[in-house]
Amino acid sequence: MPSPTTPFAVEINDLNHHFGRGESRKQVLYQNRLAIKPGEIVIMTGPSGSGKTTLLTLIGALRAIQEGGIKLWGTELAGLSPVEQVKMRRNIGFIFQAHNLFDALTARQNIKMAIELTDVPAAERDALADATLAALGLAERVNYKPRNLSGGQRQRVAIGRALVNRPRLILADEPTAALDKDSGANVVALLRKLADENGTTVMIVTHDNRILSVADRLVNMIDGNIVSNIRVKENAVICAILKQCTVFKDMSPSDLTDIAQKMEQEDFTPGTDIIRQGEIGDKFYVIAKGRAQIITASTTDVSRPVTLIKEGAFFGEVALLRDQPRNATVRAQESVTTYTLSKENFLAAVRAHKSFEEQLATQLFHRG
Amino acid sequence: MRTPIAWFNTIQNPKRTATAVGGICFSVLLIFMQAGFLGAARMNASLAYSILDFDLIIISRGYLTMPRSESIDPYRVIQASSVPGVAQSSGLLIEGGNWRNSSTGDSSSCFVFGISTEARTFLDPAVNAKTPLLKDSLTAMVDLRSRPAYGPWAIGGAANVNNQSLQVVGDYSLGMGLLADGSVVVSHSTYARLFGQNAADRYNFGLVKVSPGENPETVAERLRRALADDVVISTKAEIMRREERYFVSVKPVGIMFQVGMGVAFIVGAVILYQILSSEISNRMKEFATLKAMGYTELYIYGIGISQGIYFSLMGYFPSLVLSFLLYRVLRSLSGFPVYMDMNRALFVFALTLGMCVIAAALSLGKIKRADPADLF
Repeated sequence: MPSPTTPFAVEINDLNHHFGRGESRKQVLYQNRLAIKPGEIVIMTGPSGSGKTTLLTLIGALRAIQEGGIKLWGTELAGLSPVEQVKMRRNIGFIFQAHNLFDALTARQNIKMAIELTDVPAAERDALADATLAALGLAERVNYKPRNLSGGQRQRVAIGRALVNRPRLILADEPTAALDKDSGANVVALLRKLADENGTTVMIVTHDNRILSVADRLVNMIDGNIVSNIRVKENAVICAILKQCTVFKDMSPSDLTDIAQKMEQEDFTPGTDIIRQGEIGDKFYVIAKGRAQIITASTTDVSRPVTLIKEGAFFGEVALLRDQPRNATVRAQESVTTYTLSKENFLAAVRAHKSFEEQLATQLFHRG
Repeated sequence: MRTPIAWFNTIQNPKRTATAVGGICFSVLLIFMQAGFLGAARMNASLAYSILDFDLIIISRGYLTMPRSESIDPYRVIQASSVPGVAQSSGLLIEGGNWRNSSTGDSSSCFVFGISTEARTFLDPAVNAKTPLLKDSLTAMVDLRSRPAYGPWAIGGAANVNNQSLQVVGDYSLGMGLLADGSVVVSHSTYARLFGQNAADRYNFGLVKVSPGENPETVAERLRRALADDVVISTKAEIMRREERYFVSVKPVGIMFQVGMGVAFIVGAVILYQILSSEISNRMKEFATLKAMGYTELYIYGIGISQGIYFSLMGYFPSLVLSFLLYRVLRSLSGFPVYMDMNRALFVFALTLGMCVIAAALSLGKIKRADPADLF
């Protein structure tokens, strides 16, 4: 079912959502866009009523999509039949704010209800359930019914139920709200482990500041709009690289973060052309890793000596600023990682940050 | 094996489940009682015929039911005896009379059979052997299964019917159930003394025995051709079926029991519906959770249906056992032929499952409304 051709676990495209009908029809999500890779942990924040939960239910195939689309591992949810929807949900682990355990069942049986959706042999189900509970510090409580467990214990059973099948996506609403500091940290560690080892994508809606550090990406929503979408770790890495880059060195951290946020990572294998002379320029590049050659073919067909550039170097700005074709070819000499800024974002950044413009001008002057 | 969540749900709250099962048990018990009465009434309707020895019966065209039959011309009975294939043709008189209890003087209803002493009227050879004793005027045989209200009587002693003192010369075992408190068998001539000569002038039925080796249907056809149109010829099986049908679907008693059964059924279905309905309402979040986990709607319906079945079974079996006991008590108190048989047990079982189906159909719609999007 999931297509292997997409690098994204979750892709949200121009998603709009409304509640109600007729006069009382109210839009709750506006043109949401988000792409999340396998293994990423995303924390969604924002005031209540900002649409986070609605977005979560839409991603979880719990609600019909009205406008736009959501792809999970390349499969568009909007076109799924109810039966396919149910099947899709088996890839997803839900952690609800209210634990929603089965009251008549023991902790072990609650977990087994999830296991029974998979093809784990019947003989191994008890052991798997018990191991899951033990990992959550509930080894002594396997035969307790929810009514005999504390709020935190119930929440941990519910988390166990969501995690036991090692789902490819976990959607959690305030998973740590009922937990003390240690249990919360334990749960977060389990999520991190699942993300790293299993490539599980985790989306958490939370107000719990204690767990923000686990996030690979922070998404902030206000009034149905995704107002910021920061890849926390990547952002820090990009900022560190940008800092070494002369053109950015005088920028304030917040300006840097702002630009870094809009940058996309692109990787090139040795020998490939990153840009080609004569092509229309649409991106600005910063090299994060590896070395590349600048090759200029003059009109007299005599190549100028090859210039090597390495990490911290940037190129591609001239074509963007002057609306010209590329004036040189840049070819990866080794494996090269770049961060790119689209023309639109680049020009916006130049306009918004005075220091950036000045630095560029200086650099351009030196480069001639 | 999957975790039997439906079963755990059912037994989670023993007190509530016990109350629920009690309610279902009660309505199933009611059904058993009504079905028992109905079965007994049906059995009772053809009871008198079942002890009489005949292959074909000559009844009036205006025949309605045994105790309310129009009379036939005795000549038809005589005519019948000369039809080929007829071994014996005799007239039977029946009428309700009054029995006086010899010790208290109280009156009870008494069904009086007036038979031809020449003929073999009963299936029981022992009774037939005694019928010649009835040739003496004002003699009678008395039903052993007459109600206790008949007071003391004995063979050789006296009995008072319609203010006539009769000598008891024998007994037999019949039991009149709903028709009368008891019965006596007398000769045609004694019958005339009890009800007047006019009553004995015409017969209620003619009982026909066919010769050995003759097909009753063929003989019946011959009789129909030989006899005038004022009578109808019927086989024993036909008349018994007709009697039962009349009793069950026309007489108020039969209808009463059927309506009673219907009401008990509806009550049971409503109780079960309420139990299931509140059970499902209480678990809407759990059902929504199952949907979010990836369980199909069908599976969740299965939980609801299973719970319905568990409740019905838990209600059915105790009432089956209780009915056995109640039937026994009823038999010993009223002499009413209420027996549990496999057919009735299965019939009520089917009704119980029917209750479950109706209750489930009405209450399961809610499951569709369990919306996993509401869980967040």
